[in-house]
Amino acid sequence: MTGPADGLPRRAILKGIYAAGGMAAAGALAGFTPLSAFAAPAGRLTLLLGGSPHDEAFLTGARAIAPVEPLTPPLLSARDLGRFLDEQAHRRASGQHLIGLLDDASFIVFQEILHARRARFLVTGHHARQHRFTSLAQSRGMAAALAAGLARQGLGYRITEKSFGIINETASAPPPASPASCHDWASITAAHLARLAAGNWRTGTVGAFQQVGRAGGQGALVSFVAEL
Amino acid sequence: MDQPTPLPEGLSAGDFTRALERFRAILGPDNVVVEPERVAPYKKIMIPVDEERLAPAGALMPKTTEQVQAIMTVCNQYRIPVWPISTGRNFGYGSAAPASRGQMVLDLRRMNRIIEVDPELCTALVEAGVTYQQLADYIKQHDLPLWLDTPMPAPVASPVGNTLDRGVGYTPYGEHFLFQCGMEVVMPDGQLLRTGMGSIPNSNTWQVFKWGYGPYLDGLFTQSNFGVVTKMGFWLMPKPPAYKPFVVRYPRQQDIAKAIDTIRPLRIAQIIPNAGTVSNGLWEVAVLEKREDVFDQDGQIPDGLVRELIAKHNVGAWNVYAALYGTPEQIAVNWKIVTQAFAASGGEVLTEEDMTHGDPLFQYRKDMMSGTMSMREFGLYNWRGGGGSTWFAPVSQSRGSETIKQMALAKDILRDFGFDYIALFIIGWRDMHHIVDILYDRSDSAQRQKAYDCYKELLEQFSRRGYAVYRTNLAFMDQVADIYGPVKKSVNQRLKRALDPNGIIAPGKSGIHIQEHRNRP
Repeated sequence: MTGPADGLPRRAILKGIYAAGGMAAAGALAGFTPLSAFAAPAGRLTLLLGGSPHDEAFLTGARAIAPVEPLTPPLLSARDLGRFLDEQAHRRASGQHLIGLLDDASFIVFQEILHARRARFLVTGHHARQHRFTSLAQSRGMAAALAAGLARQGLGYRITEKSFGIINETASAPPPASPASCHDWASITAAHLARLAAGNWRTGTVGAFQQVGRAGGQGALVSFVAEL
Repeated sequence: MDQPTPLPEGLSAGDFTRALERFRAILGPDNVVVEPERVAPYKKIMIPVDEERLAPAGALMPKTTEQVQAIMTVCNQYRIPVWPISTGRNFGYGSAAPASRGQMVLDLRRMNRIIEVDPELCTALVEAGVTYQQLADYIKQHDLPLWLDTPMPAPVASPVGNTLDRGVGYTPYGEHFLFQCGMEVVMPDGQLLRTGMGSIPNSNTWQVFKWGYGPYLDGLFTQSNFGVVTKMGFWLMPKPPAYKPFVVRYPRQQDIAKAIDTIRPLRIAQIIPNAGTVSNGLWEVAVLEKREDVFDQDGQIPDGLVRELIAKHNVGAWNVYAALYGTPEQIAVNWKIVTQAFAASGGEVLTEEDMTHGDPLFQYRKDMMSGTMSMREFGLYNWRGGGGSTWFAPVSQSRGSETIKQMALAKDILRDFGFDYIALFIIGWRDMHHIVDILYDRSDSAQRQKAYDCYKELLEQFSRRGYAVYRTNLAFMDQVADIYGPVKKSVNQRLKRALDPNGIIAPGKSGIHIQEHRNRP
């Protein structure tokens, strides 16, 4: 997972060197990666990608909504991810959002570190044989939106959502349309998560949705929006 | 739909509200957690039970020992049970969740001071919430010639939590409780106990002499619910002048017997001093691959395919990872003994020099056997995906014939339930911890139920043959206590009643309750 100095994986280090230059690059080469190098420029969303075959589609979906800064560690280093989150939280006012698509193992590490820093998830989506979302009041409706997007593509699905504090399911506006460039679960999900992170999400119905039909491969991945 | 946060058992909503006000006065409002979305992380589990069954009422986050003492007073007044965690990363055994619904998690992660590290005596004294990563950073920052011994999730886990659950690592200091020395414990009545030499005023021997005077008490506070450990001392390994990790690969499943019978005398004589591992081929493959990429069917992965996969990844059916430590001269002498012994048993002995292209599996063992943290083994959680894992961990004699029996039994039972045999043996001095990871998809309720049933069957079948686990998950603590017998259970219960008559600390931990109790679905 990591090199001898437990540093960031090579692609991320190279990205850091490229972005920061000068002293920062020297620091990275010495094994002390300057994590400020990884903060997304203002107006961009930071995207954590775990190196799955669905990364590209996820990136496409998010980019359809907002400019993004992708980070692509193959399996996250707890130390560097912790520093990264601290750096992000320090540099930005609270409310900084991270969007991500990670494999199960990386997500387990990520959520523990996030929890230790008292940050929170606005929504998580577990994508295995079925899609399972867990939402807060402000992120409700992800399952319905994904179901609508997949239905338009003629794909099969089983999607559930549970939401904190919900008493009764309520009818709401129709789910937002997926961008034209979104053709599978990863890109559709990413577009909706990006809407949420950008503050443009319209909450919707919480429920379970199922349609028989061909389902694209989902792997065993977790998508999320985290708020620092 | 999310269920509301439960109340502590038997407590009215009014009393709970009043108790929360007391807790807020002690800890500050932000350190008393009851909002469902903030409680949610404490409910996250990997074991095969419904998380609502273990849902806590909330969490309390003290910063000082005095606050823990004050919490005990309130808990006794209102009969509120608290479930202490250091960081709560007990992944395959239950994470941070309590053994039953409605307990308050006593989250000690804010108690994270490294109080002392002595580089000459090679000792440390830390608070309960200190992580291995913190300690590693401290050692690096102060350039101390010391090594840590760390378990698999070390960067996010704590020495106190792992030691109290009698966890293990992979260096010569791998049996963590063996190297623990001195505890500070808040008793259920709020009294502060320091074990060993710690109760002597002005003593400087707390972290160097384990036994103190009279009955040795430290063991009472491991895998138990008799007190809240707030500080712990332990020994650190001096960085050796030289270190030589190696792997011995055996080609056939039955070779586990040869491997173990070769290791045993070397380990007892301390020629191999560390808690190395003997992992099966599928463990090695599962760290690197996803199951769906190599086998797209239900049921246990066939032996023939396993053989193909281990050939593809150039690993053995069994793989011994161990190391030599000391001066170059000592290592040279012991290396001859080790290579001769393993070669005579039919194993292929390889060192780092033989790994021409770098081997990620060797690299992470090399790291872990030198106390360098690696989370590479988390790759196992991607084998099935879906976030389900539970460790079945019976103890075996360090004897080839015994490990063969355990391997065959475990594999057969796992096959009946459609799970793969992904296992390793951790090398003790005279025992083996046989670690089987039941990996399943938690999002699939049928698979989760099968994982539960499989674990239950493993426990029952192993106990019929005289084997028992050294540690278990939250859902099976009562059953394992039953396996260890009525007298042990009764003694534990009498100790519990004497020390904690209101049952406020971690009811159900290790099957210990103040009264007869069944916590089964």
